[in-house]
Parts: sequence; C-alpha cells; structure tokens
Amino acid sequence: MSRDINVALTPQEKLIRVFAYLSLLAAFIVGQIASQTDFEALLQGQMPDATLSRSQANEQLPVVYRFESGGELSPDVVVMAEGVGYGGPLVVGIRARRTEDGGRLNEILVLSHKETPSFLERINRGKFFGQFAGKSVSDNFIVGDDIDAVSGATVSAEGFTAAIREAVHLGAVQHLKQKPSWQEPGWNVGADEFLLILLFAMAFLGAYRRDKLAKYTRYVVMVGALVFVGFYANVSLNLGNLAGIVMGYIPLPRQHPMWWIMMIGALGSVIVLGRNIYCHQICPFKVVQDMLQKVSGIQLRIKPAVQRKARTLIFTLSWAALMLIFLSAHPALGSYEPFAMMFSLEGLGIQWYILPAALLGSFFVPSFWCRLFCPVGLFLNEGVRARRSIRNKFFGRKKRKPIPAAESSKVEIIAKSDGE
Amino acid sequence: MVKKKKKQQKPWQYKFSLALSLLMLLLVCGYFVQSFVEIRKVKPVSVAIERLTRSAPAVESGGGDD
Repeated sequence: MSRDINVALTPQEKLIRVFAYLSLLAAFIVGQIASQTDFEALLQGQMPDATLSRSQANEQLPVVYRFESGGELSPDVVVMAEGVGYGGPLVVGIRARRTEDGGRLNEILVLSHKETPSFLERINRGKFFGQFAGKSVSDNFIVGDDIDAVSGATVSAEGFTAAIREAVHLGAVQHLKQKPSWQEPGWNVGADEFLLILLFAMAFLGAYRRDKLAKYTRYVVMVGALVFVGFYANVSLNLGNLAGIVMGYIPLPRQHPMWWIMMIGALGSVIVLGRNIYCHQICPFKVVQDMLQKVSGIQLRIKPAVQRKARTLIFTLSWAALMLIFLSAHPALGSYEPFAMMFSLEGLGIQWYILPAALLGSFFVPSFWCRLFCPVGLFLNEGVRARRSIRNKFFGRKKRKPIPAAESSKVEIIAKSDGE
Repeated sequence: MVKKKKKQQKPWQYKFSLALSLLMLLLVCGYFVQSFVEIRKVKPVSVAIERLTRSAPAVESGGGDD
C-alpha cells in the first residue's frame, strides 16, 4: 500500500487534496453547529403536546423542566442528563417526581444518542431503561450493582447509566439539597482489560522477535484476537472510533478502560514504535480473512494497475465516510466496515450485503478488505509514514560518515573485490 | 536461494478479482446512500433541520418524509 508514497503529487492532485481537507473542515464545523444540544427542542420532540418551562428554582445544573399537559401542571419534572456512550455524546431526559424522602424516577426518555443502532436495539430489547422506574434519587445507579448490564452493549449501558447517575445526584444535591449518601463508581478494570493488555504485549513480542517463540506467540495472538477482540468483546477499531477522537468523543478511562487500552495499543505502536501492530496482529477481521485464504487455497491477484489505485480509492471512501460522520456528528453512520457486524451479527440494511461480499472477496483474494477498502489500515499506515517523515525531518536520516575522497576509492576497490 | 517465479495469472482471474472489487465498491457506495438517508433521522440533525425550517420564511415544501 505504501508503494507509491514517494511519488510527487501533480498540481491537480494537490488541489484535490486541499479541497478534500477543506471540505472535511467545513463539514466538521457545520456538524458541530447543527448538533449543539437544544434541550427544549429535543424534549418537545418527545412530548409534542406538553408546554415546557425551564425550572427557575435555581440556575445551577442540571437543567430541569416543568411541563403542563392538558392545561394542568404536572407534578413530574424532567431532569436533563448528558453523557458519553460508545459512539459519542448522548442526552436523556429523566422524568422524576419529588417525594417525602427526596425524589423518585418515573421514566427515562432517550432524546439523542450516537450509538450504533444495533447496540441501542439490544438495550431496548433487554428493557434496560425500565430498571430505573421507581428508583430513589439517592440510589447508587452503578451497572453491576443496582443496575443490570446489557450483554453486547455494555459500554452504551454504562454511558446511559453514568449520564443518569450524574444528573440525578447533582439534582439531588443542587435542587433537593440532599447530602450525598450514595456510593461512587469505581474503576471498571477486570480480567477482560488484563487480557487485552496481554494480547498487545504478545503482539509486540511477536513483531520484534524472529525466533520460534515469536512464531508461536503470533499464533496465540491470532486466536486471541479472533475469539476475544472479535467474538467476545467486539471492540475492533473502526473509522468511527478514530473520527470520534477528532470530535472529542472520548469516554472516561474509568468508564471504558478497554477503549483506552485499544487506542493506546494501536495508536501508541504507531506513534512510539513506528509500527502498525493492530492491523497485522490484533485485528480479528484480518484473522478471518487469513483463515478463509487457508481454507480456499486460492490466491488471486489484483491487476497491478488496480492495486496502484487502491490507496486513492480508500482515501476517497474514507473522505466520503468522514464527511457523513462530521456532518451528522454521528460516528456510527459513516463507518462502513463490516467488523462489528461480523462479530455481533447485527446490522442495518445494506450492511448485511457488505459482510458476505467482503468474506467472498477474501476467499479468493488475500487480505481483500485490507488491501482495497479498509480505512483503519490506511490511517494507521499513514500514521507510520507521517511519523517516519517527521523523524527524518527533525532528526535526519541515518547518514553514513562522509568518507574522504582518497579513502572512498579504496572502499570502492574493496567492495568490487568483495563482489568478485 | 532460487527465487520462486510467480505463476502467471489468467486474464479471467484478473477480471474476476476486479469484479469482486467493483461489487464491494458498489455496496460501500450503497451504504453511504443509506447513511445519508439515516442522517435526517438523527435527533440533533432533525432538530436542527426543523429549527432552520421554522425560522425560514414560508418556502415550498419539498415533501418531507418526517
């Protein structure tokens, strides 16, 4: 893929590149402006018949709305909560009512989110939000403690719970003048996180050693990547994750340590070591492609002319995907990779066709998806390349010591005789 | 060490791999179209669109699907 990286760009190509960057910047700005949270409009969308008025009880957060329905003032209030899920920021409205012992939750209204639709479907199917009804504002609201997790959508569930917890507890202190009696959530680090760190450590070992141990390590990492990163945790990197960083959608390390380990491992290896460890060893979809190749034994090649255009093709697709992501401020909408779908078997519309087509291609052409379509690979490889050029610019290439003219002819003669 | 010579690939094999690539490209483009339609359903975007339409003077309706 990096075959033609040293080829100088023509003026037209330079112009196209400038246009691409400027259009992405424009899309980013438009998307950010359009997605600025308008609590009242979001809430009105959910409660079209109600007349909303922002509570003037005090000016402090969280924002609380009172509402009239059918000409009568409701005893309920809606407490607005913002948090960060797997895909980005989310907004929920918590319908609550003041009681003698403080306050109780009635209903959770999901007003806005950037989660992958299949994840939200899982949450809704599991009646996750129903658990909050009847809870006291002074409860803990901790997943795994008084809130049940949703398998396959853990991070989204954590994100919603954290948003609700923070808003409710803040409301209890600011609006209801309660003293905190609840437990604060601890770090969410367990065996899964340890296993991911171990996989990365083994991948580094496999990348730097050339002995038998490294060979076996690579096999173990391959199986680990497929089973753990793919099927079990389903935390493959995708373009949405990378674009999310640009948009500031970064979960708290306490809330989602796995995300941090993955990012530090994948991006850290590029920045610190100048190697793309993720694509070669950790990516479970690469393992699937390699396995299909082993099964088929067919190794069709792509026309060299097509292969040369592959980098441009991935750039173009990535540009289109990023335009969609930035305009909608919704990372899941532009990620066209079939990774999440492959390992959760949940997708929307045309995604159901992308996965089999990618698998079919990999059956005949080695690393079909990686070579022609993967934006993650492109960005990580570009990162490696950028690091190399920065390093060369600031620290210079490894140069040989200048040899005096008289000695250089000696060296030449010696080299010639060695060659003979 | 003798370098292994790569086996020549037949023209139809090149065509087949190209066809697979084009099919994949078509599907990815289809995904973009699908996402573009989905964008309108994203809450903050739909709210922004609604806000813009509300503030704009009466314009001919484009047959909104919401």
